[in-house]
Amino acid sequence: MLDLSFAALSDPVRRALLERLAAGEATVQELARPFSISQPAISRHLKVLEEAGLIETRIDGTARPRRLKPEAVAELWTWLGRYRALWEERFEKMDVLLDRLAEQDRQEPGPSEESPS
Amino acid sequence: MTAPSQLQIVQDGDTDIVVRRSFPHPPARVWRVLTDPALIPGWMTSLDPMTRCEIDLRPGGSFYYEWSGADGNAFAFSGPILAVDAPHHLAHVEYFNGDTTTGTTVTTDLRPHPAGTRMTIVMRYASAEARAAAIESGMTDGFDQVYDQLAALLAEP
Repeated sequence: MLDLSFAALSDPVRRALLERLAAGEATVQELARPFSISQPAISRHLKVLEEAGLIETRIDGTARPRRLKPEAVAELWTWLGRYRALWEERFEKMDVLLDRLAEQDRQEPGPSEESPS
Repeated sequence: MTAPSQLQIVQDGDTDIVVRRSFPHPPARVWRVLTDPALIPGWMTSLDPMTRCEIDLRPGGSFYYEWSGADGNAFAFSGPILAVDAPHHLAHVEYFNGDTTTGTTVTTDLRPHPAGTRMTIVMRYASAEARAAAIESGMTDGFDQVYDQLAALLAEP
């Protein structure tokens, strides 16, 4: 989740959207107003923020206002959250490499991993 | 989203950071990913890619890792290898950008357990200040700016 959050914050529009939401919940129309980009583009940015767990959608009749999840943003902001995210990203990449090695080992059961003494 | 591999990062005492993580693979395979210079750049990323990776894996050997970005910024960690007991134990010292006045002693232990491997990394910094600085530098300037903005926002009533 934290990895996604960092990606979410890498874009200036999304940071501006978070800034706006920090002032209170807002609809997509309200959020799109100050920007020169289309409403669907804003919706896409909001989707990234929501998938990263930084904002959520409230269902209010036909309206779908977005709001900040302050605890998620706060966690990201703490230094330990940042540091943790770096490691999380590295270990997820290790998982991918490990799975690939396991696949190779299954295909070529040649030299075993235990070296002969 | 595999719960058993759950990452734990804690500060221990004044100078240590302890990282714990499990992998659903035997220690020998985890060891390979941790120590093979052909594999290390595939995971030991920073915001910039690792562009140089050399490791002479034996007690008395040494390593050199360098990252560099398109903007020309580069940084490196290097240092001596203290102990090697494949595939369970590795100890080395890390110097940042060749500064040997303050080093971090890193011990990595891999223990077999029913689901695979439990890894424990202990990073012992020269001082509490060095530890704080290392954590701070975990992310780079671009992000600091973002966080400063967010911090200001969150501080508002």
